[in-house]
Amino acid sequence: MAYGSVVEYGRFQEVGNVFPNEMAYGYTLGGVNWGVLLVFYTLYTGLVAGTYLVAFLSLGLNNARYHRVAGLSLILALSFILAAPLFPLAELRQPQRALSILTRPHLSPSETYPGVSPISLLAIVYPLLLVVTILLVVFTFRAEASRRAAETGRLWYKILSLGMGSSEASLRRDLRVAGILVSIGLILAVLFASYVGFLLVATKARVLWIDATIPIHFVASGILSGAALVAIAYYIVAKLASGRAVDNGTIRGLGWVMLWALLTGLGLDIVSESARAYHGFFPPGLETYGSEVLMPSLRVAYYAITAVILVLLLVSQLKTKPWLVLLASLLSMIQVAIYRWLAVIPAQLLSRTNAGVLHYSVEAHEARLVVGVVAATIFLATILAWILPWGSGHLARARHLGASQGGDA
Amino acid sequence: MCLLFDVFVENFTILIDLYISIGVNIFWAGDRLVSALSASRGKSAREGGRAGCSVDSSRREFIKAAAIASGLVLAGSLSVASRASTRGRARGRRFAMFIDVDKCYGCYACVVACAHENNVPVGVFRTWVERYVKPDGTVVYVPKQCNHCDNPSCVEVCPVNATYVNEDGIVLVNDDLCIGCGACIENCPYGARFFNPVKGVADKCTFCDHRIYQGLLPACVEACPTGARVFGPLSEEDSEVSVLVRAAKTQRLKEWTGNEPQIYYKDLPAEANT
Repeated sequence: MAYGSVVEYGRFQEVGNVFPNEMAYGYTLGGVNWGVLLVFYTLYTGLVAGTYLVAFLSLGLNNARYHRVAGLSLILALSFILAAPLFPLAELRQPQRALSILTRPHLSPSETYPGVSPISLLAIVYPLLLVVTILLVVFTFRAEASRRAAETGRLWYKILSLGMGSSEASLRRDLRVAGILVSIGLILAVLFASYVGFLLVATKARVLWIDATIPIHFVASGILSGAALVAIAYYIVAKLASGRAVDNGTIRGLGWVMLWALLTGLGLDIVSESARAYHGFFPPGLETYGSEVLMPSLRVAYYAITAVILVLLLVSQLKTKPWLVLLASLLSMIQVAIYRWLAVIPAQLLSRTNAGVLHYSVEAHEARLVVGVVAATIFLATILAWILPWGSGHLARARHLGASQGGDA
Repeated sequence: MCLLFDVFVENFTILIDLYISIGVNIFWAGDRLVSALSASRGKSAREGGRAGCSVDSSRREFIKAAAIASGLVLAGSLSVASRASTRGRARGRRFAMFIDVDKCYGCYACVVACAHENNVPVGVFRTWVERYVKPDGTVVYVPKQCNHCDNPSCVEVCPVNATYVNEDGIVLVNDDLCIGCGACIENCPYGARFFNPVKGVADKCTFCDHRIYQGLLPACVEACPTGARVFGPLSEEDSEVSVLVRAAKTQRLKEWTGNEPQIYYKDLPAEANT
């Protein structure tokens, strides 16, 4: 029996030196404080940033390659913004007090309340992002809704048109306002995607979270997953809807965004792994449990999938094959989900003593919640796609306007 | 009663300070205004016929003086207000605990007393005792609990100000405000926080604040049969805990976190510094 290796709780000897309150989670929560719900929350916040970037490329930078998917990206962004808080809400032990984050955020330090809480940043970022996105949706679809209201006389389109017409002048004005709003929204979306990373990095108690690349990687992988999701959604819509074909330029453009995001993420991975190698992989006391905690098989799978995606995206830029991007998109979703898991879970499995390990498996209620929220998001996106006029007619007009304004259309 | 008096005196002093500073600023600003006005009047009277020019000049001077005065009043008030906001929460005593590891023989009386006193549910602990076995077979017992840090990382991350540092440096949780996000639990390097499965909020050692403000000792200290735990105000030089901390070579847990823990250990084995 080695000196310092055993704590009082003999039946947990196989896990090493672990604080008793950490083991308490084993009874009810499966070994970690923040489980799969937080993993999905980070995934959703990243998807918001990614879909927003695609919308920005069209509405903000007037890049013609993304005009066809700009409306779809906005719809997806709004759906994820609305659904994302459901994950942390489900994680809270007192969800009825959740609005306290907005009403009494810990944003100013004092002797009674030292420091500033990274979670409180949500109180600033989330409401602003929601308002900006709703305004953006209104200004993007208003003119087309007005035209459709005149054609079909549907009440919903009348409401969405705000009682104004669909002249070319109003369309130009709307696009100009949308351009400003999408730029503001992109900044907020990036903050939304990275603040969870700041929360993790600020945690002194977890040595594996002391990695400055995490917040930046959250944004990069968020952009990868967001662009991938837009590509998948666009492909599905184009295949399902009659009379629409997959536009190679659009798919290739999305592949381009994914490629850059993937390379950025890979670069950050190299920095992170190099830093870990430089410090001897584990601080003293962690050697025994470090390898188990880092989930080596999952990490190998992550890098293998990354390599496959990289090859697929590089080939897709050389050969016009939409299915290559589609395959890369599907793999990207898996790759980003693995990254989020590796970022959130393993650090919590290493005890705060740095000399013990905990175990975590997704519990049934967590799985049910994840399935429920994902289903709710798909439902929400479908409803929004049904009621919002994001079709090609509007986008063609926008593209035409973009061309007449001297854009790269 | 003594504490109430201290709080009254502290707040009264700050209030007086605030009013005097604001009063001085206003008086000084008013004086500048009056001087500017009288100067402009005198000037216009002296310059007689060049009334138009003097009016412009006096208006400029008046606006200039008013702007300076307003700026000074605002700056003075803000500086005083910021001082008041900091000093208003100035700490009274600084409670701390001294633990002599050599004296602890692992009877767990402190653990039981704490659970009994604070109604701590089964499976979670406000205080616990770790057991370390040396290669020669001798056993070392190390009691642990919340360190009531001077720079508590758990309080920093609370998004709704549900956990706070009281005027005597004790880190507490307001059960009515806690949303149960677990950020404080994640950020405690000592594993001292946990979710109370009955109340559904973050829970931790309170130094038995309900007892110490009645002149009693924390339950764990009172229950310790060997006197391994000593509790008291570290801010008072002649208190027992203060004398012991000064006299002995003490260690604190995980000082690298910068949390400034306020539990001082004597003869702490290196392996237990987790």
